[in-house]
Amino acid sequence: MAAAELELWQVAKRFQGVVAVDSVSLTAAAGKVTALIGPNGSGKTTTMNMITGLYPTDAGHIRLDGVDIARLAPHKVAALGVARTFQNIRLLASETTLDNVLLGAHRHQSASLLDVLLGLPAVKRSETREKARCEALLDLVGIAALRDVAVGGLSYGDRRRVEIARALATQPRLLLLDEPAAGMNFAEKRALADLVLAIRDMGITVLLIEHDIEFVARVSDHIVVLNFGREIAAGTPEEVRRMPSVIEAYLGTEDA
Amino acid sequence: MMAALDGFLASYGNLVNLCLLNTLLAYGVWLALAANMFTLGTGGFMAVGAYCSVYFTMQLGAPFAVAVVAGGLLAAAVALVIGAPVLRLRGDYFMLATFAFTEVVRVIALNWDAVTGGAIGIYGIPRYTETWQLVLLVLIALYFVFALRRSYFGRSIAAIRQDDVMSEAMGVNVFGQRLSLFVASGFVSGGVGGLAAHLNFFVGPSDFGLLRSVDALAYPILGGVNALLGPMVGAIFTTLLPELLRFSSQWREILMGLLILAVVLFLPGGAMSLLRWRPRKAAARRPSTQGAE
Amino acid sequence: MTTFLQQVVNGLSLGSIYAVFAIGCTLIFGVLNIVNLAQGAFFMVGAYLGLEIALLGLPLPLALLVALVGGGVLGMASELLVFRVLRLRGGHKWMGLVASLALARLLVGVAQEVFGTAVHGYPPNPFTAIVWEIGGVRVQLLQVIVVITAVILMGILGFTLQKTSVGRAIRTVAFSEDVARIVGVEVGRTILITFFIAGALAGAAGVLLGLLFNVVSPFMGEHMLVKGLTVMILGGLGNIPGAVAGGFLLGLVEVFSVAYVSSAFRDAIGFGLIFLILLVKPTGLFSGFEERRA
Ligand SMILES: Nc1ncnc2c1ncn2[C@@H]1O[C@H](COP(=O)(O)OP(=O)(O)OP(=O)(O)O)[C@@H](O)[C@H]1O
Ligand SMILES: [Mg+2]
Repeated sequence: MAAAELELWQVAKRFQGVVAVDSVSLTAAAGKVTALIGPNGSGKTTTMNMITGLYPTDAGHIRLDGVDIARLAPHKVAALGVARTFQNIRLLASETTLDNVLLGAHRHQSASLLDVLLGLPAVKRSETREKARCEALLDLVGIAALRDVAVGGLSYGDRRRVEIARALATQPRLLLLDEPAAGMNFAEKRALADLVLAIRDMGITVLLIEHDIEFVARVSDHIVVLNFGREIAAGTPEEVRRMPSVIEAYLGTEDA
Repeated sequence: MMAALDGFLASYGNLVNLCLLNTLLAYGVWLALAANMFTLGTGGFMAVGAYCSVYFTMQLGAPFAVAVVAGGLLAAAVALVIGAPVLRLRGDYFMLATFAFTEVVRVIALNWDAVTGGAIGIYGIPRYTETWQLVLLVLIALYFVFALRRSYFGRSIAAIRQDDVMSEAMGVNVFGQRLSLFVASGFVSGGVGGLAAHLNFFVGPSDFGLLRSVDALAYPILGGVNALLGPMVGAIFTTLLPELLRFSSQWREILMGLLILAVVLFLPGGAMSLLRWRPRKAAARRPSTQGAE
Repeated sequence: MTTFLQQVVNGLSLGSIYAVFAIGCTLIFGVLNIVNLAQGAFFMVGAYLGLEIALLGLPLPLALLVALVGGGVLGMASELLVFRVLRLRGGHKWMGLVASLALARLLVGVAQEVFGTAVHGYPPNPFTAIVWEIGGVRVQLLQVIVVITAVILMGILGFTLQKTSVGRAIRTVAFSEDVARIVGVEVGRTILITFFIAGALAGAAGVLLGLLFNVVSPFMGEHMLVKGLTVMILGGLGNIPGAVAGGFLLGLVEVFSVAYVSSAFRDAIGFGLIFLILLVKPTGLFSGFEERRA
């Protein structure tokens, strides 16, 4: 299962007259970390929602390894190996960490409904297998000790980690992270940066939305800058840092 | 021992049957509620199942079991046909569409004299439904719901109930699962309709309106949707209580209203939430299912 | 042609009552996104209150007023005792539906206990018995009064919503509770007023229908609730002009189908259409009127 390449070409989205994404073209190279940055409201999350099929696109193409996925239902996009986390963490608060992560493993369960209703051994086998896989992921993201704790009581950083583990449980080829470092302290961010690099090294393409420029510079191979729903710049962290338009549009507002 | 049981059934048989029947119905409705489908279609599915099975036994002379299954299957088929479009509607529109469906069925029942007996209904239906059959069906339903809840399907259904957008992004076929559950709920409701018809000697259009649908919803909601035994507890509670309150029928209605209100207001998680040991805050936290992001 | 005009007259008078009742239902939906299934019971109680006043020999306007206030107070009670408690306890929306139906059940029980299960009628009133014959079309003074009263009620409501500070508050809460709080609207009080208005409209509709058909019974509310939900669907949830148009439309369709369509399945066709509307245009037939809610 190889890392996937994602290509957006002139993708657009508007909401009742409000242009959320005007025209975005970008490529997230296979096996690399690409960052999508830009001021608040520049259309980053909307772009991610279109990639995952939650919003239909108004125009343009979204291609995963050359296959257009813009018209697919979200679960079909997920089945092609696209997983994500949410900016406003979406976990099942009353359920345990492990149960939350197991939801990501849903599509890899092999028991049929009939197996389940008849209580056949295949059910147990498939469940044991997926549980073991999810526990390994909890270990990977560093929350193995929280396995049986209801996620509603976890810290912000830990809940973001549960979301990453759940996304990894789908066994993605492309992982989309929407502001994974938001609300984390310095030490947590360092650990998260290492985790993102480890995920990349597992052969998973990463597309990352993040406001923390230090964090972005540390993990990204390539950066795309959005402003008012258009990409205004792209390049390596070094290149992007020096572009005047970026400083004006993004860093400028950040400092203000 | 057997004699004692016979004696008990002789005096309370009807009540026992009613409790069992409503328990079965409660699990049928639970199937829909479990995935956040607040269906007012139950009355309609029951009517379809009831008239169909009565047609099978009385007009076609089919065996009882065949008739009940046929009633359930026809209701399931109807659920499949209306489910595909209706499930695309959001929350309240879904509820109102299922309400409109139930009314369509009721009005058809009122007018299709040849099959439904029109406003008068059908009298003299042979009494085939027996207590042991109902017990058996309730046990089967309990086992199925138990097995479902504890499997990974149970996990994805619970996730759909709490956040369908997120579930879909995680690879759960939300529409497919909802449709399957809606059809299963239609099947059970239709089957219960058939069983009820062959228990009461009579079916008529007024048996299956809006109130029937809301009553059926009240069973699992009052008992608790999150607990395996919730629907059963809710069904038995609401069925037995009016009988135990030996007042005039008016006072019974008043007290039932008060009691249901009390349960709703003091136990927002349903009666079974009493038994669970979890801080109220976490249990009562409302899911957010609106929109992506 | 005469039959046609006759049906228009009958349909408009019936439809005006549907409209008054449905506005209340849709108003609550617009503000809180819930359906109050007890509205039908308020309608029934309103009809009885009006009946009692009329039986005392007091004038009909007073009967209407008492029903308005009675229905309104019941509406407020349902908010204070049921919906507000549920909101504070974080109860699920479903609970509101079950609870409001339990409340309706309780009120029907009380009505049966107090007034009995028999059907009552308003006392004969020479004033309302006047009938005009215009070109073969019978127009009862009663029908005219019903329509005019309904239109006045709708006018008052429209004025209140559009031109008064209470109305602005209601529209703000309907738009967004958070926004309302930020701009200093007392949300709790506004919701309470909304429930009062909705209950009052239901109570008034009860008197009007009781007068028009001269039938008052404890079970009339359930029937009306079904009509109210139907009109809500026709007009679009939370859409008040839609509810007005939908109410008249339903009244006309019902009356015309009795006159022209052979009886079998006519209601089924009606509900079938509603079902289709939900599927094809869930925002209601009249969503072009006004995009905003309430
Ligand atoms: N569902 C929606 N309905 C209407 N407008 C929306 C919707 N989603 C996003 N928007 C609008 O689209 C624009 C882009 O929003 P988006 O969430 O994509 O920004 P973002 O770049 O992710 O910002 P942030 O950094 O704050 O997360 C905003 O103006 C937003 O208000
Ligand atoms: Mg965002």
